[in-house]
Amino acid sequence: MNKFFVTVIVVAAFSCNQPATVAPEKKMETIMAPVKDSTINSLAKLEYASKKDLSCGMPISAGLSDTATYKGKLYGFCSAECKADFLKDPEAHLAAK
Amino acid sequence: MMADNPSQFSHDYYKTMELWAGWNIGKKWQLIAILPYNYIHQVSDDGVTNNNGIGDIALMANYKVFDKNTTSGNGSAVAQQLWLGAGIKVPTGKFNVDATDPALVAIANTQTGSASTDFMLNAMYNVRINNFGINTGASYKMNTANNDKYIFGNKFSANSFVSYAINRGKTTVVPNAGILFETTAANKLDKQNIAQTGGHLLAAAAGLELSLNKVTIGANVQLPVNQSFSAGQTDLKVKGMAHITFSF
Repeated sequence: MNKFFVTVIVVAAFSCNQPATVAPEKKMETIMAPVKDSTINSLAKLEYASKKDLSCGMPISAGLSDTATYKGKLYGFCSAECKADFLKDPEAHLAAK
Repeated sequence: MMADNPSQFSHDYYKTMELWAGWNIGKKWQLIAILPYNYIHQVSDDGVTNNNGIGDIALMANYKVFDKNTTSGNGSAVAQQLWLGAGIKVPTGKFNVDATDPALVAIANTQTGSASTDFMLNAMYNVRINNFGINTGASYKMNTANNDKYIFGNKFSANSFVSYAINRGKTTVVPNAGILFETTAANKLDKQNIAQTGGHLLAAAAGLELSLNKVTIGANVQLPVNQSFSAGQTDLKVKGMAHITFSF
């Protein structure tokens, strides 16, 4: 057996994330429950007027949990909060598209 | 997820270059020092973030419990080795996070270090029957809290590879394939579990090693077979590894 050895290792990984964004708080075991149900899969099959959640900017391919129709067009949202935010002022969100 | 929350979606690229310096002491002991350098590149809705630098240095000591070589009546040569080891990882990397930041988890995962002193246990069992080899390993990493009271979840990992050595003069070519499994407990802040952290990964790997005199080079590609990280919010797409080893 050789007495010494030197190794150089290169590891590369690629991942996609939708990170949790709620600050951990004391006295809470869990903070945000993931939204995963069959509704999400069926929503993904619909056609949308935008490829992004117009509230938060997340690509709709990353997952949807709600939709809204505005002026005859269907928009997808990653959460009910984003949908509500969009519906407060749809024109502003569309202008910022 | 609201518009004023940062980092709603991201593509993360992790690259680590590790320099391993090993010292075989007698026939039973092996000391290894590992110096990592991390390159973390994150592309999100908020823009591009790069975080590069020296990671956490690790020191390992391995002990060879047994090393048996037997030859059966039909001429088959069987060699078995069992190694057990322990190590420590020291906080030489950077961990600059604000514990009150809503994107704490995402930011913590893109630091070059954990700012904690962590401990490792590992075991490795190798069997070689003529040109066939089976290498199986397992390790457990116990993490402690850093000054921000943040603890990365403890991690158990295991892998098993089969290989076949093809000798061509002074050169040995060893194709290999195997599986890797890892499971990580939830991260904690001030002793409270953080939701949507931790998870597991089962991956399949295939690779090739080439040895010539005292130099060995090798590479493999790992593809996830089954995974659930951060409550399904993080998906590993592909992982690759390459190495070169000089013995002297």
